[in-house]
Amino acid sequence: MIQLRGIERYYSSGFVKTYVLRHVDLDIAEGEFVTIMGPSGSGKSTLLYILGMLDGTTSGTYEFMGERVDKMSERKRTDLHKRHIGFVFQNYQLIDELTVYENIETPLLYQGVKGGERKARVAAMLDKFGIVAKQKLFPHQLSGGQQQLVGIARAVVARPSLILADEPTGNLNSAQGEQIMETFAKLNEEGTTIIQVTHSERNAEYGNRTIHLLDGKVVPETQAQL
Amino acid sequence: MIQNYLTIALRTLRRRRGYAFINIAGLAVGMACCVLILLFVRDELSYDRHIPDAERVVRLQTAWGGFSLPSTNLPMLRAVEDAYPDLLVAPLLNWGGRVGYEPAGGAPVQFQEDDLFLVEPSFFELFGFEMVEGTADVLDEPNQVILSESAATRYFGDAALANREVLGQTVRLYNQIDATVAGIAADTPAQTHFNAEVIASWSTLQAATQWEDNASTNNNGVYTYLRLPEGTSPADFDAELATLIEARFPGDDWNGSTLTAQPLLDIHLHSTHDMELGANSDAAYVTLFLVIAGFILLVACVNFMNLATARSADRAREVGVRKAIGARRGQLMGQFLAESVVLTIVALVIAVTIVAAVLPTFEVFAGRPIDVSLLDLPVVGGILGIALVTGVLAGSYPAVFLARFRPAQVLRGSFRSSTQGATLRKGLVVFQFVVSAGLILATLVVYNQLQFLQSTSLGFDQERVVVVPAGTPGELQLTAFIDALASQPGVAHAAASSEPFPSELLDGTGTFFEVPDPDAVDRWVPTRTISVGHGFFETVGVEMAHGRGFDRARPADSSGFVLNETAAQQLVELSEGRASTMADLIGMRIGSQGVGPLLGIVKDFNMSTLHEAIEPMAFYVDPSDYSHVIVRLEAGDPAPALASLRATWPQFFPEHLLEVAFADQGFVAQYAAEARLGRLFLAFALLAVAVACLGLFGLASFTAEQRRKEIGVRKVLGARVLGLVALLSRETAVLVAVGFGLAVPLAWLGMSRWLDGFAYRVEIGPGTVAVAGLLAVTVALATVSVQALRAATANPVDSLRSE
Repeated sequence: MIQLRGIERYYSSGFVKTYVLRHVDLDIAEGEFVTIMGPSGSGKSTLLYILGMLDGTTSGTYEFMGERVDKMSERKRTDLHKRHIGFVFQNYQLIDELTVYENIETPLLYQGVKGGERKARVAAMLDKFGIVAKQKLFPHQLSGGQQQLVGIARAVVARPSLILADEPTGNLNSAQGEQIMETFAKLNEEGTTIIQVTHSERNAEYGNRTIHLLDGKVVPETQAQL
Repeated sequence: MIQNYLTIALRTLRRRRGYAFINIAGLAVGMACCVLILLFVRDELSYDRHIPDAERVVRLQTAWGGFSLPSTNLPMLRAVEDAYPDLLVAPLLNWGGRVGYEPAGGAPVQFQEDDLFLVEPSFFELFGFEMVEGTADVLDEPNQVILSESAATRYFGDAALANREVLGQTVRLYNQIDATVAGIAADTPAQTHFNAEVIASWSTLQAATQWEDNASTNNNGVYTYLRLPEGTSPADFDAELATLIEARFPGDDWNGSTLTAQPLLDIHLHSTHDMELGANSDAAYVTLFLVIAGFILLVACVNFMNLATARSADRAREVGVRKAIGARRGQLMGQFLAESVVLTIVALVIAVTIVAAVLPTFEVFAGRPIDVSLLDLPVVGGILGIALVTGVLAGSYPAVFLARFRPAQVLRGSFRSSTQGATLRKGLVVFQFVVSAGLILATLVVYNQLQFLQSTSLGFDQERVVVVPAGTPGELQLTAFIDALASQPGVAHAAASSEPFPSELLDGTGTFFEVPDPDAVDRWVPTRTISVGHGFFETVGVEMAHGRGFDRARPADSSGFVLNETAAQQLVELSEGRASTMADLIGMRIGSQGVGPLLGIVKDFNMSTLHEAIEPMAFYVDPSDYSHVIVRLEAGDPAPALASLRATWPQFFPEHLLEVAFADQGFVAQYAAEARLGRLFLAFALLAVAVACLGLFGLASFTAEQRRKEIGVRKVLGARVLGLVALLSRETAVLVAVGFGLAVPLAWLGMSRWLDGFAYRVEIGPGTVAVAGLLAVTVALATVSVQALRAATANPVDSLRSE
């Protein structure tokens, strides 16, 4: 599904180049549940945003389902992104002015899904994540765990083949975190590819593969196991 | 999708009330201004358009070099009628005069009618005016009059009009011609370049005076309107007129003028002849007002742009999220544009309310009722158009700006957007103050000039001079009246004159040295001529520079002349050595209105407004030209003198209504247009400054909020409040000063051009500029320092802890 070759990402200020990612090669197959781990500043989030097509690369090639993302126009990239990728954030990133229902509905609006189908799909999500009763509330009226459920529902409603999650349980207590991770595991079972960034070993255990990043480089698996 | 945009727009506005208020208030004021001005402009542009086939109607205009009239002469009118028998020609004479009515058993009523017209029946066909009672055909017969509804009410009262008792009544024109009221016309639409109150048949005057028998090409008081056939342009017709003149008036039979066709639709905004039928407007002012309204709206739009981009950090996260869940940039721009359009529509509703509230005041400004039904399709369309343009104009830059944020940047880490677009923001603030300070300066200049016009000496003491229009009475009667008046208490002097004060000074001729053959005169001074009675100079209060005035005891003086200094100086210059100083001229025989000796030279004084320089003037004595009595009252309370004037008048002129005008008020009234401009500029300047300051206030509160932590740290380190206020206000002061610096040359150029329209004008001195600059900077700083002070006096602990 995903093939990264020689991905580099650096910022230059004056003559100094600050590398965030160096020569990253990565293959992820459909149906995998991949965890990216590493200390702060190792480039995990940057890698996730690049995978999610929300950030660009300085050099290297990125193929997503056989298409070269790094050479795509912004418009095409947005289209590809919104058809295949759902994003879940550490601090939920719900839109404060919209209700739960409206937050979940928004990606469908951007995809141009017609009214009737849109209603049905949003209703299905509310049902699936057990938040039907909360649909008219605004984000600030929900607990963190509930907000993150809405965040996941919003990511899933567009039926993505890949879900990217940036420390999805970072702001939650352990019980809430577990519920979220269970949800991811279930989605993965249903066939959705999942890539998560996390500090938590426990969360990593839900996945079937872990990639370690250090100073912008992928640590070979043999070394990581030491 | 749209619904989603609108939902979020409304919720966002509700959440940020202060921000929404500043934007809505600014935009509402800007749009109200625009709507008012557009209504005014629409009104100006609608002049005469109600006339059938208005675009084909022209008026014949006559020009001799710099002097021009909106009329022609009778022989020319007849020549045109002969040459183009199929053309619709409507000639009219505008002979103002007295119109009286004596009701059976009641007191006689008499009015001075300046809007008295003598017309052919074609008048109603060409202008398309409506009849309320009777038909226009009555104008075929002499001694028939059609009154406008308001004139009929004035003479006969509402009841008589309602009971249809007006037709068949007799009115007396010019105190001598009896005419039957044969029709009532609807009042002339306000948007017509003239206003016909009393419309008499053309043949009435001919029957009474046979004036047509002596009419030559030198009597150019015949206003002639034509409806050109389709496909003939005014320029085409000009050429035909030239040919017609050559064919019909060879050589000296013609008066030497150029005759052209003036499009009817050009009259209101572009016609500046002498003897216009009504006061016209000026296209330059219309353009100026449009530009200013546009600028005020732009100033309001700038507020929106600045606040939106300055506060973009608020929205950046939302942009990032929306992009992360699949929004395209275009969709986001659509959302932000929808937001600004919603804001604009709210502002529009307020603007329309403002317009409705201030319209009566605005009509006083404009000096006439503005025709508005707010339900007019073009009006509604125009207003919605303004709102849409404003919304898009104000919203497009913030939309592009906000939609550009990259999600990877704004969703992670500390993103500060306030520094983004800061340069543009500063530029826009400068722009706001170019407009505001420019308008302040312009206002000051207009008021300075107005003050100057009203305080500059005209060369005589205009106070306590009373002007009484006397029609054209006989010489003996007038002299007897003046003598009787002069002996009354409170009256210092009285004299007859052919001109009132102030006067347009329309009569003129050349003044020259007498030569044996009058046809051989080849050098002359173009002079304005005024027929005056004995004692005129004493009454006006001007001194003789040389020689003496007219003396009643010397009958021979009636063939003599008095010149003003300007005329005398010019005569000296063309004397070829016969006179080397003005004094040398005294006693020489000169020609002007007739030929006679030069008795004296009077010091220059201004009889017309200070728009014009003092022209060369020649005074002569011809009682048949007298039309006014000038009275100088003694110092003190004018009431007794006016009372005796009222008592004396009916003894000599029982049939005439007495009208009294104070010369100084007359001169002030001449500057009504300037006074109106001053008031408009003042209103514009106040609005622009208010809107710009509203924006500054918003920006300042934002900056203060942003620098809270910095201020807290500085305070902990020992900074004092005054120093902090200065720190926070410094940038604004610089921006406003730069804006003002740019405004000065622009306003200076514009206002210099305006001042060039006056022969007597103020200079735009450093004092005026300094006052304007000080005003702009002070107002701006006062606005900003409120916020700065609040931030500087806050407890630093609060701001440092909250991080």
